[in-house]
Amino acid sequence: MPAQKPSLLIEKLVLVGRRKNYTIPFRSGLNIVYGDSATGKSSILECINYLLGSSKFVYDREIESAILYLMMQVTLNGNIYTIKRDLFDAGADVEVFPASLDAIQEIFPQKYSPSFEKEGQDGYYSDFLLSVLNMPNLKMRQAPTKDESPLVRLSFRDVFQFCYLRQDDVGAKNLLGDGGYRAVKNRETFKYLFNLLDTTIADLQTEISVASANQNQLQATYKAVSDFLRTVELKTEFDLDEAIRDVDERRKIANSEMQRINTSLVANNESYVTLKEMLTKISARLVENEADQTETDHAIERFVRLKNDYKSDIAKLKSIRVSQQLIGSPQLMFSCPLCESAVKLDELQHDHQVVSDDKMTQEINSLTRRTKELDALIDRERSRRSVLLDESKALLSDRDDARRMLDEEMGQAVTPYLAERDSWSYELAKLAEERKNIERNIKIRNQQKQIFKDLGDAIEKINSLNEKLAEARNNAPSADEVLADLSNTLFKFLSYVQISDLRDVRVDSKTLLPVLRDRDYRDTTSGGLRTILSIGHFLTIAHIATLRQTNFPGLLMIDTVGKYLGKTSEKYSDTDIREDSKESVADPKKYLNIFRAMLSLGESKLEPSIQIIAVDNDIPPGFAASHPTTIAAHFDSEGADGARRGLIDDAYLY
Amino acid sequence: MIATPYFIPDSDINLNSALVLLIISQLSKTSKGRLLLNNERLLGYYHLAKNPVVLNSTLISFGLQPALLDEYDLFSVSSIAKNLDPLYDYGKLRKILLRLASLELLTTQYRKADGFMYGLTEKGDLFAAALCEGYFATVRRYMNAMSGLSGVTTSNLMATIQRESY
Repeated sequence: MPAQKPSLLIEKLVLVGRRKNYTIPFRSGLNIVYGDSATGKSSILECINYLLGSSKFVYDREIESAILYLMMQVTLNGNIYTIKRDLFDAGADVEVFPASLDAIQEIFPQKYSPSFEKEGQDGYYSDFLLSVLNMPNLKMRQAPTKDESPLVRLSFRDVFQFCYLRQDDVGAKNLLGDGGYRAVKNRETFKYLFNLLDTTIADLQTEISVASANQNQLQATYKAVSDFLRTVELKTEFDLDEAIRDVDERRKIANSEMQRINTSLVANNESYVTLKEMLTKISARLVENEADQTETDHAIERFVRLKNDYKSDIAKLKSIRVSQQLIGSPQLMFSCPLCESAVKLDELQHDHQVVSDDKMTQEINSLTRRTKELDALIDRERSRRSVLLDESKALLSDRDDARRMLDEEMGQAVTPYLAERDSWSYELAKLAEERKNIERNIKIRNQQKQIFKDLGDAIEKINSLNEKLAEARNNAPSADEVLADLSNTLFKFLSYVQISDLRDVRVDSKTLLPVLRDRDYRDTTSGGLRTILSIGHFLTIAHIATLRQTNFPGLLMIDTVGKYLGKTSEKYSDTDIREDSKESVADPKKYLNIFRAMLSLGESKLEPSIQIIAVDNDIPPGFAASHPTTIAAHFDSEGADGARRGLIDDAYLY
Repeated sequence: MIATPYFIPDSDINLNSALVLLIISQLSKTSKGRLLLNNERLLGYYHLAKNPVVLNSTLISFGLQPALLDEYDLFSVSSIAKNLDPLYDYGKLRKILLRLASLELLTTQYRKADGFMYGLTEKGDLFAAALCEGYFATVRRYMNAMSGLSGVTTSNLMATIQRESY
């Protein structure tokens, strides 16, 4: 059985934010992310790049303010992992959970350092990735032509250069390095990809011995952990599951008992309700009684005052009678007491108000009668008042009785319930505590399981390394063979895209870059042609990876397919416009065929399948309609047709 | 005077004349026989006699013993309804004095500083003595209380009365 080829499948990217999470799902094969500029398309690829170990992540303001950290669910050679990395601290360890996104709570993560500057808790991230993808972990010569050159490691990041065609690199003259150290490293990595490195066999042997040591280590760890757990009598997984089920059952019972008590407490008190009603009625009648008493008092006061007025009038009338008799008839002419001169009192005549005696008597009698009537009224009100007072006394005493009875009733009825409820409350708290403990123990058991699995993986890895070694010994490929394959594939691609004048198409053995019409890639003046060549180069490498035994991870990310193809803005101007139009790079057919080529590469039936994530401002007309499953995300900055406004789709609200 | 179908005892001229007669008979002289009552003072006393509640608060403000009031005067509708007779109704007083004078009940003396001072003739004293029952008995009680006011100057008295009336 041939050794397992590396396979990296991104399943879900999650930006965990302050307000909400932002998720992009992916599938195997072609995934297209397209839409307006500045909506976060390139950020998606940068996030993936960062989660696969890039040294830093340049984030824009929207991401900086909205996001806390990044997570990604991936399948690496058939095993599911969730990768989590802090957005702002690029030096912090990357956390890897050997579980899917929704199961990360049940397991402890491994922590790896993304840089070689310090070692993480569980090692280096590059080592982890290479190991789990079944790719050899080698050192290569810094100066490949010199035997005594110092060795540097070949990291996952070096390989990833061939997986990620950045926006600046598409159609760029300095693709894959400008002739300096980077270019040298890239060429060595290229050889590594196709197992062309001279040092392969020796390195494989080294790797096998490292892997064996690792396996022994794991074996020892597993034994130690298992012994320990047995010693502390940690329950088996089966028992723990049962324990949790049992706890949950008991919790259900406790909760329903609490419910029962609470409803009984309220319902079972008929006599309480009756007493309460009675009390309310008595209080209401007391209020009425008070009001009536006040009314009566006012009436009595009014009547008494009136009676006094009558009495006063009667007395005055009687006195008037006396006065009249005495001084009722003044003389109209008399002499002044002072000077004896005569005084005439004409005016007094008009004043003379003689009230006849009859009238007087009549008036006095009438007043007396009215006084007696008032007395009757006053008596009536007074007796009414005393009735009210008696009633009030009776009501007050009734009220006190009712209150007393109510309190007694309450006390008798409630106490036993409260005691029972308290005991159930306590029971619930205990059960919650118990459950937490069991959950913790389950986590520990899961960890043990993981070690066992790691052990299995390690053994498998050793087997596959041995197979690789055998294969390497048997069919060490020649560089020429590989280059020929690559050249053929590139030719097929270019003719599919309908580039005219396809003379002399090859991948150069020295530069390891495409050549067209005997012109090196870097000397091509047409930017659009360079775009097509660079994309073709990467696609070709990925294609050959599906056929040969290679160390290519099976992921390809391309940022801005349409660069220099008459679609991008003035941002990229390193092109000769005349050459561009001579090659008719803006021909929409060419653009469509590039997409078709990516599609067919993604859908190739060979194992393992390749995942391509392509980003552009646009896609060929009709492509979204005819291949809807390839659209991973479509952003519209206005949100037209219900499209997402961008990666951070709620940024426009804040 | 507007003729009304209602008879208001309190406004009866005879009653009020008798009241003035009584006032002069009881309060016209000091203990030394000096005449006290001029128009102004007489009107003041008249006002006090008709408004016993004001009388008591006036006496109290001069530190004198208040009169014992009947229930009629304390707890009636009138006691809580203000008496709106203006304090300076000299016209009314003049009419009363004319009546009394015409019946030869009045004497006067003229003093330069105070004006005309009033007193009673023998006939006047006799008539006054006959006023002793019912309402008049009550008024006599008030007079007793008012006797202490003889030491107060007229202007002070009037000012206080005015203050206590409102």
